[in-house]
Amino acid sequence: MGVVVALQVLIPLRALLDDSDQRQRFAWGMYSTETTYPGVSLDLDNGAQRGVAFTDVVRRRRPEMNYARDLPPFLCERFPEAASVRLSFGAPEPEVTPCP
Amino acid sequence: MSVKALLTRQVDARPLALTRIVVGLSGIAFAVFVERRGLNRLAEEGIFTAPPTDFLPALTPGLVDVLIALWIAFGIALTLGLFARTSAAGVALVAGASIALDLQAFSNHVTLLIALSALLALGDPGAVWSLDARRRGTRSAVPYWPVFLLKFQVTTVYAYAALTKVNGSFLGAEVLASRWEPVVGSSPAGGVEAVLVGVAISTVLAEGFLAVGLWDERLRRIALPLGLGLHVAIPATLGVTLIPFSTMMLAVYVLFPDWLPGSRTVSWDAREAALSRFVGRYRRLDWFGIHSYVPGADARDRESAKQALVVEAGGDRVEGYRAVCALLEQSPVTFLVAPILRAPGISRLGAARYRRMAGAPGRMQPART
Repeated sequence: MGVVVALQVLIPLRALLDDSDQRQRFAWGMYSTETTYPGVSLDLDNGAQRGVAFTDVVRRRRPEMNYARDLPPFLCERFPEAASVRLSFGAPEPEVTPCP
Repeated sequence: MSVKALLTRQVDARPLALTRIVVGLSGIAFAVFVERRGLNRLAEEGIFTAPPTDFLPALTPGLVDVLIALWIAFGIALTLGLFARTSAAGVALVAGASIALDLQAFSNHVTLLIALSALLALGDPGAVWSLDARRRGTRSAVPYWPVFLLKFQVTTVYAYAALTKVNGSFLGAEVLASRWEPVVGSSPAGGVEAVLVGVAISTVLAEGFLAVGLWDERLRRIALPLGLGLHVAIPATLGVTLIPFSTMMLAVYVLFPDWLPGSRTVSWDAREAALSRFVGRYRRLDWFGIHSYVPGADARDRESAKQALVVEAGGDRVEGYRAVCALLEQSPVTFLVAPILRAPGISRLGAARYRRMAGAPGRMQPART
């Protein structure tokens, strides 16, 4: 029983004390922060730009996900014609990730 | 309570059975109304997926159907109390598998279902009110320590829910303003914003209070209706998909009071028809058998309307409208709202209603229970 109590206390505590900006799983942080999901656009090989609806490619968005890190590789593979991926999180400049 | 006492104590099996039934139904509702659609979204072609490892199977529509079918099957078995411990473990495993296959499938609400189901599996949730009990006989008492763990789980949810909300974004009402944008607009006016900030702060205080208030007999009179109000407001304002989460949390509330079967006696003036009807209806709500019922028909001993209804527990005696409150606080059907009946304005109205019930002329009729 002590093990269970320890898990009930320590797992969320560890998540709560995480000092990264990323919301952590298992912290019981339900609706506790506002999450900004990115606007997505692609720089195509032919120089054009193309917008992609975030919800068209991310069908179950979660605040714990690091989309800045994980979404560009997927988009590069999903859209072979893309030369780079732009993610706009509300900052003046978007985050640009070149495709391999 | 010492650890030894906690580990050896036995409690009435019926509250745990009620928790089992509500958690089972909530689990089924999760599967049918929330997770089936959510998991199928992650099984669509050409969308972003985030498997935690390469060794797990990809989510496909077929796999989602299997998971949901198993989830529902275990949920039904848990609700009915059929191989209850195994069913509880099954719900936990299947729900756990569903959120393990893709990082985006994570959900605090499903995590709560997993935790409560796993804790039910540690206990004896099928001791009564179950198909298991029909097969092998009922057990009137169950070990207390799994019950404690269920209560502690809800406590930690409230505590951490409050702690995670202590940040500028939530307390500054950004989260609420965003959720309620269709109602308050994209730039709420100053007065509206102040209200939202008040709601945000109140939410944190309420969750923090619930983390401790449910454990104390006196504070529980505030905590029970407060929790009910919170868990009605959450799905009402944030979406009906949160109903199963609310019902799961409330399912554990019934484990907090000390239900003592046969510990109280109700006596009432059975000549009063309205009062007898009330007591008769209440008996159907006395699911845990807290009271024995002694109709008293001798009007000469009754000096006032108050004495028409009396509840005695040990050496304590309450009469009249206070007896009505005491009765309703001892039923699992009404215990969440019953404390409100003691609130200043409501108690005045309630007492007036009681006096009409207690003093209402009725036909002389034999004592009826």
